[in-house]
Amino acid sequence: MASQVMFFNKNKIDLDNPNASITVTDGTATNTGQSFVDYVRNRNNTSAWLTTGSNDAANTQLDIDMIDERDISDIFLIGHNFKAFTIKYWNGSSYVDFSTAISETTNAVDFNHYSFTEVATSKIRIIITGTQAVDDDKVLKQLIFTNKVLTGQLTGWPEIKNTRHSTNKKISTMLSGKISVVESIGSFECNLSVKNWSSDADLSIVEEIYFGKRAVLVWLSGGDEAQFSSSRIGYRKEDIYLMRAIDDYRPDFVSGLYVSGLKIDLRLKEAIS
Amino acid sequence: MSYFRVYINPRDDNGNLTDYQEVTNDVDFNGFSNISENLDNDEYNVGSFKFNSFRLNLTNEHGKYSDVETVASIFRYRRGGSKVKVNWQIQDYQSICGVAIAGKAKLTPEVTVFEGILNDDATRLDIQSQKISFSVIGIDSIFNETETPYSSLTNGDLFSEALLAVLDQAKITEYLTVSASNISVSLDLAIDDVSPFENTTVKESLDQLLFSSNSVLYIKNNVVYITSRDPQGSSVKTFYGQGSQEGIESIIKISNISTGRNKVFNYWTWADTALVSQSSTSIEDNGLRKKEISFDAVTNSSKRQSILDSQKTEFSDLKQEFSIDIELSYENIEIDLLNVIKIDYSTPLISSSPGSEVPIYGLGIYGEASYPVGFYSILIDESQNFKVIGKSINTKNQVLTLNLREV
Repeated sequence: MASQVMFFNKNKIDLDNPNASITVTDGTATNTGQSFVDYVRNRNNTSAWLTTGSNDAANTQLDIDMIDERDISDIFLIGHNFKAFTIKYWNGSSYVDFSTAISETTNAVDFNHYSFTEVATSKIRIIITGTQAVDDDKVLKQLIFTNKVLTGQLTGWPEIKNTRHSTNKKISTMLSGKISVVESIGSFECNLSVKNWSSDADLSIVEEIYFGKRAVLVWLSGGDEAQFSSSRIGYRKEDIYLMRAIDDYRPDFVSGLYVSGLKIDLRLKEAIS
Repeated sequence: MSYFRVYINPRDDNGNLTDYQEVTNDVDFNGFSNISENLDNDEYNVGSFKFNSFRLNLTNEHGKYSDVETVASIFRYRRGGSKVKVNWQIQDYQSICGVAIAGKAKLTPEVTVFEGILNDDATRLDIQSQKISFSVIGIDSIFNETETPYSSLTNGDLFSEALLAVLDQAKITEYLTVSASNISVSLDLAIDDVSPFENTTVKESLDQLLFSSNSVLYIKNNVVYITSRDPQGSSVKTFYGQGSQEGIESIIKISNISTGRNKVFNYWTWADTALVSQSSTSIEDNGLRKKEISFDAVTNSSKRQSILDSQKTEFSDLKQEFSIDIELSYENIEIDLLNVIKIDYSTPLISSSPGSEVPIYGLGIYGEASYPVGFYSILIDESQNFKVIGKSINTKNQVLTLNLREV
């Protein structure tokens, strides 16, 4: 079953939130990876939290403290090797399950997305009791706690166009005629375009993106990679970008007919905030 | 979107400052230039402070900004000398309790980013567009228009005492707060002969006194501070580059990276004397870079030698300098001159063998793993401290530029 584009608010434990902290507890590891556990909240899938000398018996625990209560309805674990684990939230007196309990025993994938009834909580606890290869060290690239932007998912199928992974190339021509290329880390951008959009819920999401004056997480695959002909960068499960509208909202009724839907061409670009 | 507001405080019929009036709606923001403040920022030189100035273009169809003869003018005494301030806030409207939505609305206090004096000398009126163009200069420009109170100075005054005497006069304190508690010079010697200060402006006296005492002057919230050139306190903030894993990217641009050799002076002499102060280590590393000074108010040789030694210590070492562009925000705008900041401009690592993983220390096996290589070679380590020696606000792009010098 194909899945439409999804939108979430910024990670509640994003690295630019100075209040959030993560504590690692592991009785076996020679290095719990505490000093670089913040890499799981740096928006970057090329760095990771990694233990050294841990095993399945260690029951490695990640305690995430957000200090203030935050609304959470979705959790993403990206680039991990956990087979058995639980995730619970603090209800003010104890750690309890979400409306849909997160308790894996035979997980075999490196990406998980959990969606549940929104809760307001200040702490979340992850306990890892097994890795996919027995007694491996634990690894996790990104951990996202978030909630949906309004309904969170489009009902329509916008055309995804003008996609661009720009690395801001600076090209100089050498004396030989060959070129020297300097590249930056880069950013992703795309348009979501619908010629006649009449879904109220979808248009409310679009308006929220334009007028929310903040970046939102955009998940083009919506969790279903198989709907695309092949697994390409930008459309994979792990490709969740913090993006912002960079064009102006132009809500023209199609052909000027008030009873028609709107012609929308939303230009999004990866942003820092 | 963030927003600038402009206010003018004119004088009444008796010449007294009245109150600030908002003139934002008449300001042509296309002609609104950058706002800056600097300490010893000159290339190939060392100095103490610089005036800020910018041009203010206003629509004047209603005649509110015409000279005092015009009935509609807000200026009743004279235009020159009116106070002007520019405030900034993060959005163009106020969040009102009961209406603003929690989690979406932002607190939007107005922060003063510039306060200065309207200079009528360079005023121009364009008849066709009915626009009037004023030059607004920093309040410290009053130093240029005020005479040194020579009679208040006596031989034997310390630099700090002389600085207070020079600044603490009605024409200056009308605009600025001057207090002995805010004057703390780096080298506090007694002046041998005050006669060179006769018939000079406060600016000329300050230039001499600040340089000799190896100190700088800056103004914050209308209060004059004189301090050593030393950075103040520990780092107030770390800014992160595109490749940093430790923080979210917050540097828009790094530019004008210089080794700081243009400001290395390692051979200091006193004019028409045999006095010299030199750093042999620096001369060996950077070549001999001579600076000759003289200051008639100090005649004693040992005091002159102390001044030379103090300047040599300050400027003989190579200290990297560059500018960073950062987002204009409440947190960033609070960074003051001489504050210390850190920069983490590291490079992301990629494997030297395409398709293979970057090896992890302790797990990578010699002969199997590939060495990592960096994206780029110009790096700035978070362990280095930099002091802010200049600030500039690009009002059009809403960007704050900090000029930095290695500590």
